[in-house]
Amino acid sequence: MIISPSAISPYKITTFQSGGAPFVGLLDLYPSAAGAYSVRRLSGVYSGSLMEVRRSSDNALQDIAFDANGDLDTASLLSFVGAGNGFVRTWYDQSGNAINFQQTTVSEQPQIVSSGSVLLENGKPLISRVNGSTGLESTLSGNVNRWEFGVVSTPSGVLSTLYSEIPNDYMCIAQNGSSSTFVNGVTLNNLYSNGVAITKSRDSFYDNFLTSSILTLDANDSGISNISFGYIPAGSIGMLNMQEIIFYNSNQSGNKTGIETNLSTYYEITLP
Amino acid sequence: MYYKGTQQECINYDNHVTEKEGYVKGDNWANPIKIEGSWYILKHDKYTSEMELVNELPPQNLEIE
Repeated sequence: MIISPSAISPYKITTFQSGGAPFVGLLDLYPSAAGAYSVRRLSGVYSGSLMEVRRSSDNALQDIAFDANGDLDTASLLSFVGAGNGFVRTWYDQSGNAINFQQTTVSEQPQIVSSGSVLLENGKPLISRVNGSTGLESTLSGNVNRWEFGVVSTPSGVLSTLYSEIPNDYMCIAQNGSSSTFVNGVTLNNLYSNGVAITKSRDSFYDNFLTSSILTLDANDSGISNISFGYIPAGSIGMLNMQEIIFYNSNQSGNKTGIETNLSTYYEITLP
Repeated sequence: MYYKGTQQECINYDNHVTEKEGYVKGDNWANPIKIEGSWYILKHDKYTSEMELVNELPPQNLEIE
């Protein structure tokens, strides 16, 4: 990898693969995200780490970056964590807006390494819910023209939610067999699993995301000021398992197929 | 497993675990949870308390349910 010597800002560095071709990520193809979080590099101009990890052996913290291919540097991750467990304290924003998701209460941090092994879904690292309080908080605000794309899964047999704001606003609760309120304080226009529109209900959301799947939604969530993955203080509604999620504040209907195809290719999820 | 006690007892337990574990950057162990007038805090595997130990949180009458 070669770093351009003319680069000064961390967001203006252009990196090149060993073959000389510049790295092209999802955000290079579909820019202007409001927030972008992943277990892979999403942009050729992003040079920061992907996440900050706490190890269970001594609670030390370390930033984990991407490797030469843009994948999470799992070698560094495992070297740091060792034989114990690793938890995500911060999930860094790759959009350039520096709005990170973070959890400073250690028992509520999601897990990335278990007993010395990286948690995986379809061969890619997975940020996994631990318990009902598991969640990550941010200052990312809602928008009247919210579009989101992600790769997520619903933990089996428990309540979980995509995101929320205390005390009562929330976007998409997953609950097996439930027809209770699905969203509150937001307007969800359309919800897709692997590119196909699904019923906007707790049961449908739970069923359609039991395995890692591509999430797409468009909504008005402008009533939320500080988006948090999970419903943290409630103690029984944690976050979804996540590999990537990107927020836009503009209509992405023209990019929907392209972004979903990009996610499908990297995360090896077959689109119908 | 959770401990059930007063709010202050739960705060004290969190402070105790946080100090013993040496979390950095001001991080803490767990936040006390109030359910129907009682306070609970997640038990850490390494630290005990004289508070009542319960296997799980009681069902919560959450508004969002």
